[in-house]
Amino acid sequence: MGLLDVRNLHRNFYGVQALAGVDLVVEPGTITGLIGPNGAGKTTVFNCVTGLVPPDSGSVTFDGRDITGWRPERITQAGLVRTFQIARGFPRLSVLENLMLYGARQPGETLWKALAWTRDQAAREAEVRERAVAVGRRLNLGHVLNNAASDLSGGQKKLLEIGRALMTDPKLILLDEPIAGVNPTLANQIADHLRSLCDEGISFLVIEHHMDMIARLCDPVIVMAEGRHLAQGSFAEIAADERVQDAYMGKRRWAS
Amino acid sequence: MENYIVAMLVFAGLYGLMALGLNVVWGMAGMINLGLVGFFAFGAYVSALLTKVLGLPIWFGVVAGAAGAAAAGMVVAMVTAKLRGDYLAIVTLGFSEVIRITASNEIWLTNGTDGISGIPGPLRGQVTPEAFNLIFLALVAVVVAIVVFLLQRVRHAPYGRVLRAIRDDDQVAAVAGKTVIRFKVEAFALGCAVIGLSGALYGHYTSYIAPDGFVPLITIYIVLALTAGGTGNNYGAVVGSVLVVFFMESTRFLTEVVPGLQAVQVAALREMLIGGALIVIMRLRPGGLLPERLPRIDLPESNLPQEKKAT
Repeated sequence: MGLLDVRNLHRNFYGVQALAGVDLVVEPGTITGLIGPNGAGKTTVFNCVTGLVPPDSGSVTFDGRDITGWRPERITQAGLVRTFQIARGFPRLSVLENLMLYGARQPGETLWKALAWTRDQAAREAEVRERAVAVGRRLNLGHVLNNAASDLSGGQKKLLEIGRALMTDPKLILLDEPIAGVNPTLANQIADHLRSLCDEGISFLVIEHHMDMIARLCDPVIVMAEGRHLAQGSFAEIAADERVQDAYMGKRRWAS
Repeated sequence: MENYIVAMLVFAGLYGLMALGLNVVWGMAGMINLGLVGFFAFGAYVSALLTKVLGLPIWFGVVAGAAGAAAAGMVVAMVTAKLRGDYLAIVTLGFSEVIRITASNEIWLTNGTDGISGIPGPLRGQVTPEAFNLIFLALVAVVVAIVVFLLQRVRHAPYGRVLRAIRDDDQVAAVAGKTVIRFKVEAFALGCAVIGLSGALYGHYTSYIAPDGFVPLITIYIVLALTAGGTGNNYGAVVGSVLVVFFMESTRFLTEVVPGLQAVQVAALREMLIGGALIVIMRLRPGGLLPERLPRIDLPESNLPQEKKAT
């Protein structure tokens, strides 16, 4: 049984079958790739797994616990956090605040403690800040920590997404297109960050369309098509798989 | 004349409290509340009835008025939990009208449109009216200072950070591990408590409240005050309120000196001046006079070389 175990997940949107019984497993210690043509249901899997969209049926098990139908904040607190495809977030917060927000167990988020400015709040706030600064510097955001998040470049926003996820002390991070629209140098940096984080014990499930990145980074790779799990294996195996080629290119009806 | 100025300052303080309450709900948490005056009226009626009919002490009435408005705010926030934007605006606007019309019709409780008169005020009757005015001004100033102090704490605490995050994107805030609905309901209740506090003080100051004193126009004034002062900034809320009262009152004198106008035209000219002044402010300073600022944190430079190596 894997770290994340998705079984027979279904989800319809007004008659459009986005997920038609997806099964997928993420083993601990891996960077698992999730690829598939547009509309295959990859992002919907993320939404259903992280509680933003409830699945119609099926089950999601994470770290030995059934988390199907949990609220997003509870899933994050359990150690499963996601990033967003189009860098979403908090443009009117500073970069440092974006990171600190994701810190777990903050007493200062209780109203009366915020009003009374209690000692445990101040102590925890200092800890969270220290950790946020460390995460920011690790991701080369050290010089922009006091800037508004809206002032970051596209690539820096992607780094901030990863940084925010790290602040929750996760076991598994779901990354939705972490290098889409990022220049190749920065893309390589992001890949290096992911690999070293994986070595430190964080697992990843990555949606990405850049196949060279998938080939370099991900093993195994899962292919989805039309709301289902289609194939799984190393990148080489996947690339050679005729079903995968069909899903991406269409069937060879008039093949000679 | 001095009495008039003192009275206007008291009103500026009461408006300031309402703008501070709105700043929690709208400025920090990003929820529209066009029902401000309803919570203001709620606080005023609770405190007036408790002190006048039941004879309870004034301080108790004021605290109960704030608590009552908070409870009403909590109910409204929970009912409207799934609404946002325009829909929340309409429901809250409707709420304030419900309060006003209820106060007009439940004569057994509120004396209907005749209103409640003879509401006790601190030391009223024991000192001269001038002294009462000044004492009340001092009281309002102290209350505003305490509320600003506490709300600044909230703003700079992790709590305020979560509210501002919810303002930007409540779905991502949930992914960040925050129970969004709890924060929304609490922030709404906190803001309404401050607005109810203002209403309670209003009743004890003027000694008379009636439904026609709680019209939606007041809500608009407060929204203007916060926008002009600086949405998201507690000091801006107070400055904007002083400014709005100053504009509304000073134009009264300005138009007197313009010759050859009838009373109706003078009134229209005032509205034009107020509107024009606000347009000028928003054109020159779109974030308000005191725009919201990002908190800056001084960072130790010790780790910088390490970072350069990494890039």
